[in-house]
Amino acid sequence: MKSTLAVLALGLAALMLQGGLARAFAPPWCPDLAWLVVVGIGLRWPGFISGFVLSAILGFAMDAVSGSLLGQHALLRLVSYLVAAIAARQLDLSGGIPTALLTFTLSLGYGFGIVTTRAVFLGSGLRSALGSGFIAEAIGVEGVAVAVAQAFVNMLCAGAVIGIVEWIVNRFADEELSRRGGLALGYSGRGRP
Amino acid sequence: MPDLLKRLGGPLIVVLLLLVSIVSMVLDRRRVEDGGRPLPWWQATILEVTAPIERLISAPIDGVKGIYRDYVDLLSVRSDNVRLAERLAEIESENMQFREALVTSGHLERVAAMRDETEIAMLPAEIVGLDVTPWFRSILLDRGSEHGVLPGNPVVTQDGIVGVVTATSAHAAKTMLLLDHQSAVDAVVQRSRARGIVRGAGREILEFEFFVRESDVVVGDDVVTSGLGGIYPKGLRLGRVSEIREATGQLTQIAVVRPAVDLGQLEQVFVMMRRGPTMELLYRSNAPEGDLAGPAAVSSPPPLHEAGPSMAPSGGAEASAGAEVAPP
Repeated sequence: MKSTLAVLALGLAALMLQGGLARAFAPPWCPDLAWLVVVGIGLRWPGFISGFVLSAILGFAMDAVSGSLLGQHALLRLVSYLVAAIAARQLDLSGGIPTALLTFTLSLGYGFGIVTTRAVFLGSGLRSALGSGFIAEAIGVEGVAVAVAQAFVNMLCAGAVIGIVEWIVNRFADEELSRRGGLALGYSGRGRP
Repeated sequence: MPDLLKRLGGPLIVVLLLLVSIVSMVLDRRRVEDGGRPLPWWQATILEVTAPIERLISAPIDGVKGIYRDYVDLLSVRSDNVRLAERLAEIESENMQFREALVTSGHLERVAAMRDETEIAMLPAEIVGLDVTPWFRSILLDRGSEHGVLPGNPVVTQDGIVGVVTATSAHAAKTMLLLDHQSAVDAVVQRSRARGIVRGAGREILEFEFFVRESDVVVGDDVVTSGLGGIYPKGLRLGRVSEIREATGQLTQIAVVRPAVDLGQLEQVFVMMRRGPTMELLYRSNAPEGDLAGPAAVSSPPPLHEAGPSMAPSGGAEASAGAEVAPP
């Protein structure tokens, strides 16, 4: 419980910090710290479902302060969490480079996910959005450049944020885990120090 | 049965949360199309908590930026002074000519009377936060419904339009910038009165889509609001045409417009304490009883016969057209 509250507080603090930081580093050069916390939860959090619920809460909190549709960041953060959690369980992510590459790829996917959900939910539906090439047009060369820039910045900050999540997990979760006596959904401990 | 529930509990929660986020988007889209409703308590609470903390974080950043900007400004103050003095002399001369023309045609008294009737109160507000994702262009202001700010209020600076308030809590307001993909403003070229829609491109530029393909527009033309969209008053500066795209293969002509306001350097803005007629109608019809009491400056909507054709883009920025309001 302590670790859950600590990670939740970290996610909310990241949300507030990045809003202020964006005044100095205009997007896309400002890292999405709250999203990195979600990725950190996916990679380091032992409980699959509790991590999923945490990601949903942080996603909806992001929607509350962002100009997005309510649920847009939440959905994409849940998908980010799922991919990160599955990657942590299936791949060998020991070392900084695999984690950085995963963060970069996930961040790119997040950007395209935003464009796609916007086209589908604010445009005229999925079929129309795909058929008219609206998504490709909305992304464009400049859109790709923006997505790559933010993915790069997120990648640079990933180590620090995921490290803090990891520290919280190690600090609070060990005693909770030993009390519970196991990890959810076949968690093997790979990707976790 | 308990075993089955235990086994399916995890996947059920996953599917349920994914569904909740998708349904939220569908409902929120409908809310945007309907003109908006008051924020749910939990969203308002997050805004209330976030805004003051973001203000604390951004205060030192603004301080450093301010010192740097002051220094840079000082470097060019002498040359600026000479240039501005020349410009002032030119404008005074032009102004005299316009006044003369207005007096001759008898318009001056009517213009003065109209201006008195349509004076709009302005509330200064500070920007405390920016949307960190480059896909949405919105800002967070430190003024909310307790200060009389309502969704639909235009936000401006002395240079021109910044955007429109989309949601408020007691002490904070989310504002969609002109640059956002969902933003669309009914506009005219100041010189030729060629009309069209200025849309946000999600980048640092705006796209002016003309209604007529062979519109009279040249690079350097100023673009202002037409007042017909029903959100912004007439005559507010949007920006300057920086490029005209070939119309080949397109039904309409498109010009690239550089925003008049440097939206990347914003610190203080002014909230116009009166909604345009379209927003007034939308929010008035959606607001619960007792929530209609806005600031004293809020005007009643104009008669419907003044309304023009609907120009609502998806996601609803400038919705159907309304009556024009004179500039503040």
